[in-house]
Amino acid sequence: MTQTLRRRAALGTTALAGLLLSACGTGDDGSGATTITLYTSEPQEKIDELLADFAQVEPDIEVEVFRAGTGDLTARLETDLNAGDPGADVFLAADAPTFEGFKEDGLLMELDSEELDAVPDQWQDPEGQYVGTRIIPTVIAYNTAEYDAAPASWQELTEAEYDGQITLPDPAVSGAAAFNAAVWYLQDDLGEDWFADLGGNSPVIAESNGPVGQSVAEGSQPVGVVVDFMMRDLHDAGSPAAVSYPEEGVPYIYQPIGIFEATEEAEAAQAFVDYVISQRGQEYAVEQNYLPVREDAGTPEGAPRLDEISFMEEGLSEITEVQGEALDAFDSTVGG
Amino acid sequence: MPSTRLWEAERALPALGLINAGLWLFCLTVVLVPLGTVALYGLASGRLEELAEPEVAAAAWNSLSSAVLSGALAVLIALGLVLVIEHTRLPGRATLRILALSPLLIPPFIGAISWIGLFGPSGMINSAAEGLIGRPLWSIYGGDGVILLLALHAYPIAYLLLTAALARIPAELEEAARASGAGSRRALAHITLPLLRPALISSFVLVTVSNLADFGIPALVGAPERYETLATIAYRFVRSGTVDNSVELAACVGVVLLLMVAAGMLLIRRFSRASYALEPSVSRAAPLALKRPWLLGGTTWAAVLGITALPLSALLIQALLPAPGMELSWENLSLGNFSSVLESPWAAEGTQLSLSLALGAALITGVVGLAIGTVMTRTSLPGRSLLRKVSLLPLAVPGLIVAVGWLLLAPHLGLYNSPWLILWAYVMSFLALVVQAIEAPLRSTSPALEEAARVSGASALRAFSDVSVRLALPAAAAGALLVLLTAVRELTISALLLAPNAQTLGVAIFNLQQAGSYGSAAALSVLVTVAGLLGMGLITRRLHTR
Amino acid sequence: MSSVRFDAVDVVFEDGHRALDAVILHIADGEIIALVGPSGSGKTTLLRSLAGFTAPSRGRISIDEQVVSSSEHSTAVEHRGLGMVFQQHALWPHMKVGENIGYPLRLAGIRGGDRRRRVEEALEMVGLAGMAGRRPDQLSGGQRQRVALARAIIHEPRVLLLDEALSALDEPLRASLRAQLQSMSRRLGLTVLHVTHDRSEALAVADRIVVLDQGRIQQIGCPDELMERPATGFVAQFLQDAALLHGELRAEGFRCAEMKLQVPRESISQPQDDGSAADSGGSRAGVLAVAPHHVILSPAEGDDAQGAEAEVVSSLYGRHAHDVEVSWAGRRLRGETVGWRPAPGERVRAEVNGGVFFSGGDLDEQTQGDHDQAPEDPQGDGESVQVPLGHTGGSQ
Repeated sequence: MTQTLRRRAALGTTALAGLLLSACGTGDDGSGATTITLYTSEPQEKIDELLADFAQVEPDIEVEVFRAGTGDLTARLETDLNAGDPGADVFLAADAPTFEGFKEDGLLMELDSEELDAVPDQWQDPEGQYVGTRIIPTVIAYNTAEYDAAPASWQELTEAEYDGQITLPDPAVSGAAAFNAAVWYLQDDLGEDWFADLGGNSPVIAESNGPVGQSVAEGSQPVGVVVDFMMRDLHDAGSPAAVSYPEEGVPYIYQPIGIFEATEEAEAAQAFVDYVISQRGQEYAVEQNYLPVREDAGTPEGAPRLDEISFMEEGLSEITEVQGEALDAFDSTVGG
Repeated sequence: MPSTRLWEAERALPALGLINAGLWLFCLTVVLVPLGTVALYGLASGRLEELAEPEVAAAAWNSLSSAVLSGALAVLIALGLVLVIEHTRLPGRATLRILALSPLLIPPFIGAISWIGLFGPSGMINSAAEGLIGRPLWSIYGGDGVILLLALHAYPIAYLLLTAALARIPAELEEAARASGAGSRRALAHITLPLLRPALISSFVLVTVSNLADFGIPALVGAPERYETLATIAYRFVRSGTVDNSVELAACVGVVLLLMVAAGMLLIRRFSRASYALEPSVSRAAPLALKRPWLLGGTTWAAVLGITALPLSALLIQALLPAPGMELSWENLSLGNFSSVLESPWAAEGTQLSLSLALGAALITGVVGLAIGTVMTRTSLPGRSLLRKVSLLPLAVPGLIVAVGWLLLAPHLGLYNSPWLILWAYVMSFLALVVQAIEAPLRSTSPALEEAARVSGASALRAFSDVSVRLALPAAAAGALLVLLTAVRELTISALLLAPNAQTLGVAIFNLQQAGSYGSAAALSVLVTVAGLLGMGLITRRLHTR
Repeated sequence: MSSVRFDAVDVVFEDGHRALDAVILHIADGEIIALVGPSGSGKTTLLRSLAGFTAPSRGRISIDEQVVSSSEHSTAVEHRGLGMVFQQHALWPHMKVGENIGYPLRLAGIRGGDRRRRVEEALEMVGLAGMAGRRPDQLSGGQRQRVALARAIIHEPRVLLLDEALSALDEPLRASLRAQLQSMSRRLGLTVLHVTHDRSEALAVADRIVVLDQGRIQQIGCPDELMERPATGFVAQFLQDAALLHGELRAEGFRCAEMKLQVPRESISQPQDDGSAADSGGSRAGVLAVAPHHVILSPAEGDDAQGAEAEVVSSLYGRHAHDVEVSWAGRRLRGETVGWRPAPGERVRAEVNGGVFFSGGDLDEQTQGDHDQAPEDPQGDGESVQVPLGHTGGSQ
């Protein structure tokens, strides 16, 4: 190798190391601020905005976010635990069964917040280890350019009109969809028969909520079974999309938040949880098109009030119990 | 095979022994330890037998068949394109070449979404077909779609390897066949193709193995028809939340994949014989004169545009519309998605991180791959072919499982939440791209060249570095380029290994897409693709004018 | 076994380079033609345009009175019925020797025992009987080239094309293969076009030799003709290592303009002599091509350094005559000595006793353009000869 080549290579390596180090940039800035780490599956943009608002409330608490899909989050947490403690102080993602699992493993600490009283009992852990943050129902979305009227019920989706038009997330891949499948399965008026009828309309099974929303908005599959806030976002951006809350009720999750027992910054973590379920935090959630967990936070534009929505309430233990069955039933009817 | 190995007599040469030991140490720490960690983690859980289920068996079969078929298809597509673009005087070859390589730059899941927009049950083309012929043309969902998309996504790898191999075939060999009475087609079939065989096999292995690990395409295109592969099954275990300690089970899937690759390698050894030493050519293979250049040219342009520009333009439309489903009209088009992407703070940070990681990975894999490639083909050092196989292994393992291995190790290495962790994971995953790119050209380099250097007074090591290493440099550079392009949009490894508050480009695109910001996701993909195409254009131009 | 005809063939490459310029050539059936010229002279282009690898921009090429290349039509290479041997043997490494040789037969649909028998015959003819099962990389360089030769002739081609076919081989081997080539071509009655930069090889094997320079045919003739009556100064220089001296031809003889030198009129021959100017007593400007055998060197006698004006630069042993290069009055000339061999650095007497005169106009035409290629003879000293030539050519 020639001298210049070698020098150039050395230069390159140095520059690269510099880049990497600066990209690393987690450095302590020594301002005396407390830093906590949050694992969340919230959309990047939404969590960025929320944290910006939180920074106004608690300027001394800095929140670092590891954002990923629910699956990647649990995988990371599991691996963290295998090597020691969780890499996060606060976990904001998924659903109650996931948090029940954490609770069983003794990972969570008890929340100590006055705000808890403002959240209805059914949306928090009776032992106070986790609490809901936003209500995320799964609803029927439709493309307004293709349909004038919304399908009013789950039952209606089995009608011939919707043959080949429907798309829904895969309960085998998405935890939330699996949860929904179990809830439907438990309904007397839906259950396995409804799966079979729905399967007759050969719906397209998408990988997750994201592609479902896109297909509906684009009109390639004009009817979808999907989380409501995503469709409101699309509607606001200009897509010809709207949602309908079926009359039989909607399966939903309340996306809990909890603090890991192993945290070294319990106070700051608690402050963050307080903010998220506070009136201000909940009003912010409403602004982001979420249904809130408090009555006093209003409701997103174009969405019904909480008391107007009929929720499908099923006990966690029942859901866990039938989940396997429900998945098998779904697979053999809708999935086939 | 006469001796292309130069150092039968020089096994004791200390410097080479040192290099060999260094390479082994490198592969041990960067490849074997993380893979071993995750494999042990899976095995120690004792849950391997939970995989003895019909659905896992079906997924294993799907993985195998889709990887092998898409590998073969990708090599065929690449071969066709290489012969037409690099072996004829087709008009516009430079543009065609860049276009043909573009699928490399689009993250597979984004590519899959654009294809679904075209060939989904109600996609653009199928809707149009319904109006014209009364039925959809072809639904992309299912095994055939997975195989086709995997092939369309991976053929550029084979394209680069085959181009390098073709350039090494002296023009006289084909001309001699022509003079013997063979038409250009028969000369191709009897002479050029057999001589390309080593490169065909090595690109087939590379593409097949890396397609085993692909997650995005089977997840998006296979799932609607319940077409599962081992990679998607591993992700399903982790994501569904219905499996306890799902990561252990995913690690077990990793073990199964590793076993499949190991078995595959034993099989392939029987078919891949040593390649031929070619005299260094004075003249590069002369491009074929075409009888009907416009016919072939038109077909090729149509095909290349169809498999690259069509999905790209679907992506562009998506990026230009403020929201999906809006009517496609001039008033509705806006650059809003582009400006919001460009203005967002994480886009700059993500670009910086992705670029430095990809450059770092390209540099390291380039140097180490070069060393492994040369040691493997030019020396008789012990264990050299095992070295190559070791470097190939991680390619078959889905990013999730690779990431779990590194994540398990990270606290012990003090690398938890550090970008260096991602860098090493990239190096591990992509090393094989360089090693495979170098192998075929080096094997066909005549040992006389190195002997000539020895006679000219160079020591064994000097001759090795001045001749063999130098000759392998272009191939190593091509391999490193491949690593750069693949790493810059990597998703599944980085998704798990990132530090809080950090993003890579692939993760940023994925996050946007998952959050329903389809326009921004498309805009960022378009930006990454265009920047990549420009960069690639510059690089290939430099390579060609040199 | 066929005749070949080039009718006013031009080859102009994409970059505008004119590789062949109005080439007219007729090769008779069974003739062995050698094509010589410095590198870049167009000899390989000529061969390749006959083969069909290069298309002429103008003119026609015919084999057996049947047009194979014209501006409208081009017969594909494989339908021209040729055999070709390349400089680098071009054996296919993935085929055994027998498969290599039998390939043209395989294409012609000849199979089985018939093919095997003919391959064996061809191998025998090139002295490689029994080697059909070897792989090309198990052969020596000479053996490989003989395999390539066997491959080129096995299907009885109409024309055998040899592209520097022997150039990569070592001398004794080359000589024996050269002889083998000639006898075999005669035996089979092959029409051969042999491109080489080796003049002695061309003179040795060919019936006729074609000298090319800058895409133009300078002369076509049998070896004697070319040696005795070169048509241009370039041919003399290229084939005989002649030095080109610039000067004037007068009634009494040639007077050199560059050095003090006179050559008597009667020892000078003029190829294009039309009996007009010189004989009528006028003087003409031009060049005198002085071949080594025209340069008489003799040892300086005793202390008489007076007449010993030339200094020996190199002195090479030759079987018939030694090849001595001298520096004489600022010029370098090559001469021959018989019976004695001076040492480099020695001063000797020099004398020019003959030459071939080419009048100026001719010279002007042949030296236009970038005439800086030297003949490829390693011993040739084209450079020192060319310099004054370029000067005078321009000034006249």
